[in-house]
Amino acid sequence: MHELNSLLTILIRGLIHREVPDYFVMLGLVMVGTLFVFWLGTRRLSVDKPGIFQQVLELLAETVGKFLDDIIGHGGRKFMAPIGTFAVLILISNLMGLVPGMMPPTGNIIVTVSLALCSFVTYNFLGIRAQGFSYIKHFMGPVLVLTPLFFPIEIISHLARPLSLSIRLFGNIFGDHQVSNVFVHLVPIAIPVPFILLGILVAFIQTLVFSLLSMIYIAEAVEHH
Amino acid sequence: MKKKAFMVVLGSLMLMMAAPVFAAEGGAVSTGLGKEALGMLAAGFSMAFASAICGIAQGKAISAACEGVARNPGIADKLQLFLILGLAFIESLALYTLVIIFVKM
Repeated sequence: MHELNSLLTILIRGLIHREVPDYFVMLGLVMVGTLFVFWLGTRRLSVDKPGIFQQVLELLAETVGKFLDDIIGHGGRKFMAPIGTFAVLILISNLMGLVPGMMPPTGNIIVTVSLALCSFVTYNFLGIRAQGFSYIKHFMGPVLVLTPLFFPIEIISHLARPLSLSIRLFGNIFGDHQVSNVFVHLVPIAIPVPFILLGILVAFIQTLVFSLLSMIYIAEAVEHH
Repeated sequence: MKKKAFMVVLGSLMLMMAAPVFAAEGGAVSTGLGKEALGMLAAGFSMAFASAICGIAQGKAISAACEGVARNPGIADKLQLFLILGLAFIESLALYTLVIIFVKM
C-alpha cells in the first residue's frame, strides 16, 4: 500500500517547500476549479438563446431540484445550497480519480469524514432552526413513557449516520482507485478501459447516494408531525 | 447431518491452528502461524464471507426490482431509484470489511 503523490502535489511541494498532503492540494484544486468554471458559466446568461454551458448548469440544477422536490416535498428547493454543494463537490472529486496523475480527494478518510460531519451538522441545524427546541422530540420515541429506552438508541443511530456516510464514500472511491492502479500497472494497454467506465459509474452512484441520504436526513429533521 | 458434523469438525480444526501463537512470546514466527499470517488469513476469510452475503442480498434486491418492473413497467424510473439506493446500502456493508483490511494491514 504505497502512497501515491499526484503530480500537482509534487509540483507544489517543490514550490513552497512544505509537506502539504495530497488531499489538501487536490481538494483545493477541486474547489477553486469548480468555482472558477461555474463563475465562467454565469457570465453570459440569456433566456432566449442559452449557450451549451448554461444548459449544462441548468440541467445540474434541475436534477438536484427535482430530487429535492421528490424527497423533501413542499419547501424542498430552499435546501438547494447545501445539497447542491455536496453533489457538485463529491462528483468532481470522485471523477478526478480517473485522470492519470491525480488523486481523488474523497479517497482519503479525512475528507470524507469532514463531508459527513458537514452533512450531520447541516441536518441538525436545519432541524433545530425549523422546529425550535421541539426538535428533541425526534429522539423521544412515540410514547413519552418509553423515552429512557428510546433516547440512547436514537442517539446511537444518529451518530451512526455520519460514520456510515464517510466510510461508504471513502471505501468506494479508495478501493476503486487502488484496484484501478493495480490493474493499470499490470496491463497498461487495453484493460483500463472497463475500469474507467466502472469508475465513472461508481463516482455518479456514490454522489447520488450521499446527496440522497443527506436529503432524506434533512427531510426527516424538518418535517412537521 | 453427517455433512454438518464434518463442517463443524473442520471449522474447529482450523480454529485450533491458532493455538501455537500463544507459544511464541515476543512476536517471533517460531512455531505454527505467526501474527502476520493469521491477520492475512482472517482478512481473506472475512472479506470472502462479507462479499458472499452481500452478493446474496443484492441478488434478492435486483430480482425484486426486476419483478416489480415486469409487473408494472410504468414505474420503472422510481423503482430504478430505489434499486440503486438499496444496492449502494448493501454494498457499503461489505465495504466496511474492506476498510478494516486496508486500515489494519
